[in-house]
Amino acid sequence: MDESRIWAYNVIDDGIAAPQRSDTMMSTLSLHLSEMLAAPRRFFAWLHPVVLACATSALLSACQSPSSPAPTAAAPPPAPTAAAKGADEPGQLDAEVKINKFPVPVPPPSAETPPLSLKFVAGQEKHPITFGDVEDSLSDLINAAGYDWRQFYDYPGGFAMVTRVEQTRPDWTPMPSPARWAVNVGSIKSWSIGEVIRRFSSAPSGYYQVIVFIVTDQPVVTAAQQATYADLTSKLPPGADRLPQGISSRTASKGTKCTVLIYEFKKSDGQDAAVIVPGSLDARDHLQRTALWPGLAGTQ
Amino acid sequence: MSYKTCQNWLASVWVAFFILQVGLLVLRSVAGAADSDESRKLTSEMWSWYIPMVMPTLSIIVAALYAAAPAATQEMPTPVIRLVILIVLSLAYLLSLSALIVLPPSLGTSPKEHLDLLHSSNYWLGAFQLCIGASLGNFFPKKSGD
Repeated sequence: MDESRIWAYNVIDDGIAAPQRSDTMMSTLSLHLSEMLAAPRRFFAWLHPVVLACATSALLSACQSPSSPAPTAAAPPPAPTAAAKGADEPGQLDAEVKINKFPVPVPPPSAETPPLSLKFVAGQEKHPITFGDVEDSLSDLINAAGYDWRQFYDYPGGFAMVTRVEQTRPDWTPMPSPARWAVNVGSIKSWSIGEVIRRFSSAPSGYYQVIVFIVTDQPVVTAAQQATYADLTSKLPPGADRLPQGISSRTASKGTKCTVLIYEFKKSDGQDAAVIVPGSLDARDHLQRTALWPGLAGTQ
Repeated sequence: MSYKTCQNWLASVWVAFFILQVGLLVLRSVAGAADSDESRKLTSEMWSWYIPMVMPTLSIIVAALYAAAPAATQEMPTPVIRLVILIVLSLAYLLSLSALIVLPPSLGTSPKEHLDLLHSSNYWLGAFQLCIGASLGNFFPKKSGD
């Protein structure tokens, strides 16, 4: 640092400005300021080409991009289709509704009934049976057996109805509510040291079952690959709470039968267990324990 | 109450709980809980979690038990209140460990949640272990070294 600058600093520090030295002081100050300003300028100097290159390439890519969204006017509304036209008429739009399909071929069940005739459908002597009639009768049956929730799926030649997963006792008799609908094993019901140690030493398992009714005039084909609890619960696509008009209004052909598939699981909390194949009971025993058999067999 | 009696009482509590807890863990490892990956993982994690929680303190107690303390020290009177405090602290700590290991499956906790519970309990059990270790460490080696 030269002498004049040291002097200038001293002047600034002391707050004293000698009039006879004002020119020197000003020039020193301006020199100092210019040096201060020169540093960032030097830094930005080499940055200029980089910024310029980036801006150019961005501009070029924007011009070359065929999909660059040009601001356009809002697209005109599509011409009204037949379905949209029918939306004004009750029941017409319903015919267009599609529901998810149940997996085909079906996952191998623990137990399966032979194809059952539709004897359980009420009022079949009056008019040809529609899938809507079968849906109503099946819904009544499972409602009477305590199932409050079911899901409908499309199935080739008819439809499929899946009941809510239910927890059972080890003999596959449904547990009383609310434990019946609890998806986890849950806490101990009656506390004892033995039960606590049993729960600790072995992962507590619960018994669960899912019942699937398949109403179709086609053979129900079973897949080779074993399914798991998740395949029939969380991974199953969402169903519908009723059949759409397009399926329910269809007349069930003479060969339409109802096949009931029962899927048994023994699983602990947080575990994805495989379906027990073959099951410990036959399908009829299962349906008797769930109070569905008398209605399905038409003996109620 | 003599120092030796206090030492025996504390050692009995710790060794009894250790045998009980290790027995339960062995039972879980051998007899069951091997039917799912989550359960197997939980069992191995239980061992890894349990051993550092007990072994340091138990080692101090057992080492002091077998250390040859002078006869005068062994007969030295120790305030009962001190023994009571140490026993209460030890029981609270050991019962906490037992509850964290054994109870969650009975409360319907899934193996993953149980594992998370063990991991999160490390924070407060660590502080608890510090208190226990300090109290027992102050009692055993100090007296046996006298």
